[in-house]
Amino acid sequence: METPEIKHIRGPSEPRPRRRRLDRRAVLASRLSLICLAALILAFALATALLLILPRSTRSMIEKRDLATFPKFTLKSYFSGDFTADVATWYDDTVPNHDGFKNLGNSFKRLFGLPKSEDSVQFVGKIDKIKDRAPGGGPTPAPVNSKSDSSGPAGTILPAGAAGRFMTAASAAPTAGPSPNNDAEGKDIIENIMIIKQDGRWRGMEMFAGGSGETYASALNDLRGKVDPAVNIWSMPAPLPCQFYTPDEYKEYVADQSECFDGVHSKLTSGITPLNVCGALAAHADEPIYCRTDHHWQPLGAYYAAEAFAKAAGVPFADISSYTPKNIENSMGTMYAWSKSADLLSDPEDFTYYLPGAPYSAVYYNPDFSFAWDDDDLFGAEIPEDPYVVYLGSDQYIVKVTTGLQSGRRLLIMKDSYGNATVPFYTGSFDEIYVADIRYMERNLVSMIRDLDVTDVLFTVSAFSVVGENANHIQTLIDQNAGETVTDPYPQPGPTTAPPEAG
Amino acid sequence: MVFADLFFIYVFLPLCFICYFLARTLPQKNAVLVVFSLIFYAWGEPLWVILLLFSSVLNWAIGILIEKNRAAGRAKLFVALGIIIDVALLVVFKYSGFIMENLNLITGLSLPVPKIRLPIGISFFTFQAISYILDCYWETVRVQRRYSRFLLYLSLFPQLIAGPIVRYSVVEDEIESRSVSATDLCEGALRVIVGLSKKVILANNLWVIVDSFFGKDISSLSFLGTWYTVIVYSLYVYFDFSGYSDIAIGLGRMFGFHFDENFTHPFACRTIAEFWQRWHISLGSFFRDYLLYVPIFGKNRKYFNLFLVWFCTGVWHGAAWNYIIWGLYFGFFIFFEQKLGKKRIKKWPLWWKHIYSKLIIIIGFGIFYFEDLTQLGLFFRNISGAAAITGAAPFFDPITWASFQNNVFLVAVSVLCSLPLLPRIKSFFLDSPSDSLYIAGRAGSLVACMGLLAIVSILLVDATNNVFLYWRF
Repeated sequence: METPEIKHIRGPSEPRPRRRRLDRRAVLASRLSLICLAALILAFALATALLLILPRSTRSMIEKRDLATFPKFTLKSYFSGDFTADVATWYDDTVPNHDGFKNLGNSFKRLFGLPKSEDSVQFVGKIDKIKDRAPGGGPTPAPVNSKSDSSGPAGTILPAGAAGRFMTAASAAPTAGPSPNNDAEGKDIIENIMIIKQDGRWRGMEMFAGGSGETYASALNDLRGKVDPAVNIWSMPAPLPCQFYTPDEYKEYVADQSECFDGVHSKLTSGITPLNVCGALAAHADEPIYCRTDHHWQPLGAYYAAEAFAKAAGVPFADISSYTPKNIENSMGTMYAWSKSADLLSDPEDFTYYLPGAPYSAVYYNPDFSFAWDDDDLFGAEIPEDPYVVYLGSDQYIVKVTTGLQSGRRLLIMKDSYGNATVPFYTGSFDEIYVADIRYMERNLVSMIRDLDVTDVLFTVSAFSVVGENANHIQTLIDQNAGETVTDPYPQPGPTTAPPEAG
Repeated sequence: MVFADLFFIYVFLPLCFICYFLARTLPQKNAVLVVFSLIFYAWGEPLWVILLLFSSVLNWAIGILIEKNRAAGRAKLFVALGIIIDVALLVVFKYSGFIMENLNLITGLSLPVPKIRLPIGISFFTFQAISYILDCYWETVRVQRRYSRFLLYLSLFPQLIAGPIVRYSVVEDEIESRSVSATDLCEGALRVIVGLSKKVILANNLWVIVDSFFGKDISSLSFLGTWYTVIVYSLYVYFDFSGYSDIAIGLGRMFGFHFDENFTHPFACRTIAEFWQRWHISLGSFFRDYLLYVPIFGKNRKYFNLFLVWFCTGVWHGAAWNYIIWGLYFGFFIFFEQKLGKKRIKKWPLWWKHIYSKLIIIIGFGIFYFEDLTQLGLFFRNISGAAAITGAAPFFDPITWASFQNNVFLVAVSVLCSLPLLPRIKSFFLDSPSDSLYIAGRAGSLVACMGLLAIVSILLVDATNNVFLYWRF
């Protein structure tokens, strides 16, 4: 006999099933909220504590700049809102392990796009076509931040904002010799940058927009009229890598530098010898003549340009095999700092520079040509995060190189940072080589040429400097302290640097 | 101070919460909020915090005067006085330069054009003050007699800078009595993280795309490039502004306030009228309640009021002609839809409704972007295809293609997140009768938000483009 089913009858105080379920859910929700809250508090507390306790970063190697400092309080800065804004900037900028977090963040952004294949291209900045541009004409190029606002640490000889666009400024005390750079370059410089993958390697390049180079040509012509006609004046602009590595489909977004240089050179008077090295470099474009992660050329590119100049100047030129190559491995230069491209970051490069075989001595002077130090070396510390600063300590020093030659030829290189890498390749070509940066030298250029018995003046500045604001500095050099007498405060007899040992 | 800032997240906010939860009584908690709100405002506007205080004193006093003079029939006078002063402040700080420029242009005079920097959030707190005065006059809220409480309403930092425009009626009771549960804190914090993610992960990176194309002369920008950029810009504005609103609503909830929603997936709309019921709801409802139904042009002239509302909506966004055009542009389509009638629109196929509404909205955002009317003209030339047809600009360009390839997932995720998909997923888990699904949903949202917070924090290191778009309004 089956047991009769007993139907449950709900008592008057017993909750309905749905209500009961809702109550149970409310309890569960409340408990889960507590757990969730505890986890969130823990995460926030941990992050807050770590940001508070851990030592704050002071320098970004990947961005090649000093990080923000805690602002000084003044009533003016407070009421203008600068103080509070700067406090927040300082806090955000000096996060412990700044570079690690920046790299992580940049790597995260790689997820935004399709997986990168060969011929992948990225652009940074506001890219525009070079339209209807006559050779050598048209608008000015991408802005050139020739002297950004910044000041070096105590003891530096740099004037405020001395670091230039093409190289970073050294923080070394005047008598201490070269040391790791202390970039004063504005972190917010964002040029138009193209990042491409070619032959399996990533390359970052600034995009050159062309320009007339009127100021540059006019200044050189003025100089020609003011110096002894026996002095040779050479114009050898350094092309940027976009001339050689821009894929065909993007050619209309960059100006042809060879045409640009020819246009500028056509404005020079006959007493100035133009040298367009675009062809010489193009012949070696499949060699590592330009950095992939930095905006400079590789020393090998500088070598081919120097070779072209030596040939034109009729001076001896040592083959690269007589130099000792040195590698700065896994370097990551300015193109990553400016583009923040994780693809570039994932593909560091070797920066190879060459130690001259010929003996030489080197003396460093401040921008006012007062003695700085006598180091007998053209090379400084190797910094993988900024490999190009291995040359000459920094941009702003005037450098004298004395070789063992007795040819009677004395070279003055007027340069921006592109010129730095060419200097070692002339150690077998001229008796003395003076190197000065067009942006920093504080002496009169005409007097320098006359009083130092210079026989050859070579302008080696990048394409940006030829058509951009940096060209203004050349006229300033001609006009400033006109008529002064320049004497070498540290005349030095002969070369002291022994050739590097083989191997 | 900006919400999307490490200093705010890891210094200001923890300090504020510690002080808030150490305070035992509600007046103490309110005092903590007022102090931190004023610090928050003064951080960005050290001088014009005085203006905020002045506005709070003025409108608080006007409220009391309205109440005292109601019987005598002079309340209207004080309402008018309050509104005139509030609007005058807005005109002086926000529109005087624009007015003088146009006066000079029309008359040929050379009157000096004042260069006054717009105090942050003035449009928002002024509108809140106006809504309070009118609500007091219409007796939809009780007049707040305590200045400190009114100051808290006007200066409450979660919504002070960029809205939503919180009505006094929404927080009236909570200013005087509120409690915060673990659920409030938890849900509020998660909402803040979602808002930060919208801003830092999506909006900031969408802006990079927009700026690279629209941040220059667009005369040679291709047809497809213009469409691509304006779509991205529409998404950017949505995530930037709704992200801010999410943070504001989340922070409010963590302090026990329940603000109304300001966005409900506006890109899911099917008509323009529906879009504005989902977009910046607090502004739309402000104009609806305080301007649209006020018979300024007589009871039978509703279309004048409609266009007045849309003119004001445009002007509110900025002192430039493109905003006025933008407002009237939407006014026209609202008018068009009203004339057409709901029944006829209802008969449209769904796909057509979506295409129609998205086209209008996206082109509208193009108008919203270009303050320079020459560039705006070029924008219309490019987006209509006229430039491509005449050869003035290409149909397509490789830069756009490269940008699209490099941002395809960012754009795709942004499109998906702009649609009401995530709430449906959330609802699937959290409304499920199964406890295990419910727990999985809660755990999933916690883990996802923790991950998002980590990403946001990393992306905020040394970030430079965190100012919210609506700050300038």
